[in-house]
Amino acid sequence: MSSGTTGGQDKRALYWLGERLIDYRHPVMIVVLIITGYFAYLSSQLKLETSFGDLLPQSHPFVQIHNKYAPTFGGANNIQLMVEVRDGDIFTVPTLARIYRITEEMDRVYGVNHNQIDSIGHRTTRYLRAQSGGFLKAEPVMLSVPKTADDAAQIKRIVHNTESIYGILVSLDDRAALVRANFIESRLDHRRTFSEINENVIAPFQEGWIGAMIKGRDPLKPDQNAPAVVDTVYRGTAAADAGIKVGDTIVSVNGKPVGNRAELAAAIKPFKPGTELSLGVQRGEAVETAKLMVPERDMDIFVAGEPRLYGWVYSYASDVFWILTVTYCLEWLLRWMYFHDWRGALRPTLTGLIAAFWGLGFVHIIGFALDPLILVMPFLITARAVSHAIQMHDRYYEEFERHKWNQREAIVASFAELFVPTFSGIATDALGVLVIILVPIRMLFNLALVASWWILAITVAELLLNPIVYYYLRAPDPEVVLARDRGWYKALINRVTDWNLSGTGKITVLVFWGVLAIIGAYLMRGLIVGDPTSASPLVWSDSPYNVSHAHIQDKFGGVEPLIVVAEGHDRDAMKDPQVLRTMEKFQRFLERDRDVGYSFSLTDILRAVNMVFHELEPKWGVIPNTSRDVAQTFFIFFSGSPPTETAKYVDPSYTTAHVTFFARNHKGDNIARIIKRCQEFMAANPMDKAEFKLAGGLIGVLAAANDELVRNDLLMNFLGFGTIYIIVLFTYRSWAAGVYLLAPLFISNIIINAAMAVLAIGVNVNTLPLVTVGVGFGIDYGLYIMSRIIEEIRVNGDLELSIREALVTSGKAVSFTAVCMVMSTALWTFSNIRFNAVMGGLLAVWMFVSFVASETLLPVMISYFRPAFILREAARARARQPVAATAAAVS
Amino acid sequence: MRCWSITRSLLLLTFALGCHREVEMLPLLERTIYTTDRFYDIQALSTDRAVMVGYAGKILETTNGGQTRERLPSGVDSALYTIRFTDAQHAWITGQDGVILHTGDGGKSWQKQESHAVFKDRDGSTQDLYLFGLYAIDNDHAWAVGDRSILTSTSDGGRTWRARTVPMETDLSGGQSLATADPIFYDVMFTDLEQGWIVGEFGKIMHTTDGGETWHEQERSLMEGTSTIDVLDLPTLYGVHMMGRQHGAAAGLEGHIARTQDGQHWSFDKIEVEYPLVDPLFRVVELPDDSGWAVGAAGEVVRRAPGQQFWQRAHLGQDVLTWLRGVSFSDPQHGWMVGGFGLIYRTTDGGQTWLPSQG
Repeated sequence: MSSGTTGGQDKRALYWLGERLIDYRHPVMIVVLIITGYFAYLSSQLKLETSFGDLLPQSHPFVQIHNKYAPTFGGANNIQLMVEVRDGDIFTVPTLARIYRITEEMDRVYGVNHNQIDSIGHRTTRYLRAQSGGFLKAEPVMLSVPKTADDAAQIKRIVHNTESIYGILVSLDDRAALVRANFIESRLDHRRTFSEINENVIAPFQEGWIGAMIKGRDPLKPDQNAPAVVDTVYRGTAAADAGIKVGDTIVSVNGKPVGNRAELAAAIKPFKPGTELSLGVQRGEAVETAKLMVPERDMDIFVAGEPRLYGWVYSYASDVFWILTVTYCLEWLLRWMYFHDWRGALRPTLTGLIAAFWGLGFVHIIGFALDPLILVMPFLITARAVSHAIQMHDRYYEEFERHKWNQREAIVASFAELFVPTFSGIATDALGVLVIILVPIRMLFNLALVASWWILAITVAELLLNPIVYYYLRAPDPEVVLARDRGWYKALINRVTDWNLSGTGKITVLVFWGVLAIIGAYLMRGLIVGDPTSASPLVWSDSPYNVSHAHIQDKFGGVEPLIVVAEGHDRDAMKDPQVLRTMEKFQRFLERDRDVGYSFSLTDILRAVNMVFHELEPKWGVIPNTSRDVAQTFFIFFSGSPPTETAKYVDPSYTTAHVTFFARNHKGDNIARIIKRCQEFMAANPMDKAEFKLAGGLIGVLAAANDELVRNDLLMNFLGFGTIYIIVLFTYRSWAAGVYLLAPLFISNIIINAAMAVLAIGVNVNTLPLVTVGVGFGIDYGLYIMSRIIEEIRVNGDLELSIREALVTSGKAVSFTAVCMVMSTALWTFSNIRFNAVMGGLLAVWMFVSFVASETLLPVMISYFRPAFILREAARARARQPVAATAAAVS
Repeated sequence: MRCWSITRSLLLLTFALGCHREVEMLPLLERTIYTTDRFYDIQALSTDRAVMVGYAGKILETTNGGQTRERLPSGVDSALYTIRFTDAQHAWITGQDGVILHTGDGGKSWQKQESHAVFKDRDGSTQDLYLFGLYAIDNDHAWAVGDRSILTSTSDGGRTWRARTVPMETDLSGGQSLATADPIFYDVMFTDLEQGWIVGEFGKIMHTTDGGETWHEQERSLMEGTSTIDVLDLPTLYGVHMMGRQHGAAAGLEGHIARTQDGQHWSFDKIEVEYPLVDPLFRVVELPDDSGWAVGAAGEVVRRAPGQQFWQRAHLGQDVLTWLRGVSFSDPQHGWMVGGFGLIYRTTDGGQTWLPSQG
């Protein structure tokens, strides 16, 4: 019988442990089941949510500025809703009325900051109006729903004469209006925001629009939806044609009852334009039927912004269930084909399930919620657990045959012989992923802890419980065991192994990997930190989100905010003309960057107010040259507004204000460049009474996250590889072993990084954990093969023979494991979440490359360089009794 | 960007080579016109040459009818309000903070001149006054007007400027006198070395016959035959343009255009529009063919056809939705308009079509 990689003494201990586990199977099983049950219960309490703050490096100065000022100046969680008419301009009564109501509904969405909504329909968007007696007053652009064409014309005039609105909240071609809302980070609930916007903000005014304004809320019961009472019917619309009148209550659509505006819209939404619907209309006591032709859509609504993006991601999260179901069914099928029995097909799933319960339970214990974007990660760990189980199962069958169909001996032998590579593999995986805690981002810290724990839990399921489970299960039929070692798969493995170890094969393998490494090293230079495309990489480029995002970018130039705070040294610093002129200069400077759309600051208001105050004379649209004139101008505008409204521009003591730039995208390269430009400008333009502080808004916090990823990456790599090397050092007690095992891993990593660069996948807080965990997972294949080579050489003393034997036994199991892993990760490419799809595909490639490298490059290197740490085992083996015999004697 | 990305697998190599990629600083966009530009004035010097001024010290010149533009260095960051060439080489510009710039080389270089347009407050503090309007009759004589009824003039080519506040003749009692004591002057025009007009706040029309030493008000004539009985109700006038000592026009608030046929009496012209013109008109020009153009807020452009006594909205062939502040013709066929959002329009057919000049 062969021995393991460790010394005979250790192996004897493992054999002894295997025996004891079977002897004390009942108490061990009960304890494990109780703990697993507890974790399973905790798992059921888990929530799927994203905590935005956890994605940020809280210790980074940018994030600290962001946290300090986000409640007043606006944070990173903005939603931009654009209303675009298909014909004419927005200055018609029905369109303006809808913009007003849309703004009203947006103000009611859960978590919105009511003082940080910008829209011509919102009370905080004001213009300066001359009143009788020559007084000026800052009044909302729209005080109520416009009712007449004169109202609409008046609003048009206000917009065109207010520079802080025109081009910013209304497009320069008058065809679109923007509603921008900021959300309070601590109250973000992506699913709720998503559905409320769909049902209450979009549907009643877009697909569900029939040409009549339906009452939304009851003023006396603002928390409840009012019945669908018709407030206004616009001329020439479908509602007017259907004979609907003001005061009617729509109670049903095609017989289906509707209780309010949102339900009415939801009922109409599925029908195509031109479809005739039958509306139940209540007039007084009587309910009449009105025939309504669903009208052509006259207005499109586009919504973008981080909360919306995550809303879409959550809406796709159900994909995960189907992908998991299909994956498991396929895996069961594959394993049945490989093992030819149900134990082999199903038993590995048990390992995966137990580890999953332990992992998910732990997630709940540390108060961490699952983000749909990291679901690939637990899936990958579970797949890894299953692949360890496949190794074990295959070995169990092998030992069963070797021990003349003695079940107990086979169980103990497979446990003892595979303990070292399995445990080393688990340890490298667990510790490898743990290095992510170095990045000071809460989400990554939690994820590293969870992943590490989860992987360690495989030890319980795979090592501790395995002998017991096998003992409980009926022994396999010898025919089944023998059949597994016959057939085309085994023949294929034999042929590939023979070629691989032939002279031509070895040369080909070395040249192939060498060339691949060089090409990969060249290509991977394109890898970037942050997002590599202007569209969101989380969802597909033709997804509704990215389409909306692109539309809004086209119309308004940029939607992703970078907030630079101008922090004064004292009160009234923001009334200093030098400070204000520097802010304006900053705006004009950075707007010349091709990825900055436009900007906004207090100076825009100041200029606009100064101009309106002087009867619209553009020559007055300048920053006044004395603090007194500045103060007077601010007073004119802000004196009529409550501090809660003005705080979004400047704090009440005029100490601090901000310049907000709206970037066209958040590509990693662009963020880095924009931040660098800001720093250059700030250094070249110091102010006496204030200084600029970077940076809030989405761009600011992403810059901070990217910065931390860059800062920690080298150290993380070093520690990741270092950890693997040290574990391998202890496993094989050889300095060289790590070099042999890390070489295929190096090349796999080069190739995967090259693939990321070519496929435009950036490194960010989402991709980093997956990329890092892949490092550890790639080593497992090599560990199994190298351990087996050492086992074999102790028996036969011949290196070439041992390599061959290892490849056709452990190598065969490794290849089957790899097939399963590749297939199951590849299935993620069907996900509607582009991120999951891309990462699934990438990990599939990774698993495949590291498998092929372990199966080809590793044995060829060992064969070529004949490492001493392996050859010495042959010498030791000759001087020693076979351990198995001794172990048998012990038991 | 820093090549953090040199990967896990090439870790040792990365350390050895110290490879990292710096942030790629793509060049800033270099345009002559941005949408954030605001142009206040333009002067057409020939059919192809025009010079315009605007916010943040911007001066642009085109010598090929707007196909290309060149930025001229002003040396200042202040808003530049008015430009006036006296010949191909000599010109003045006035602007915010009492700025006066002068060129003697066709605009290649500009020298700052001391305008002395300063307001001294009772507490002793001083404030540079905005010089909104400017007119130069020759290379020696120029006048500039602005905030707080300031007038500054030169008769030596700008070597010295003499600033003074133009006193008002109208004595209004009570609070009104405070408001009307030093109205803002927005524009000035001289027809020769003696005769000149200033327009400004409260419909102010001041006239001089002695080269700007003494001034007399003419705005009361605007009230004759109207229901207006209080001079404070007269619309602010932003622009004045004279065609000789007798004929001229002034444009102002709520789309008013006043004209004089004798250089003394003014009356409001009729504006025939299908919907009311409520926005201010800032600039008016009258042309040798007896036609006129006026531009204003919210893209309002009105035109008086040759020989007609009333004004009508001009059809530009496209919607202009922002303010237009400057208009200038080199001849009745070739003209320019400038305004907010970096807008520059040009016509070569007497205003039948206007085409934007892109940045």
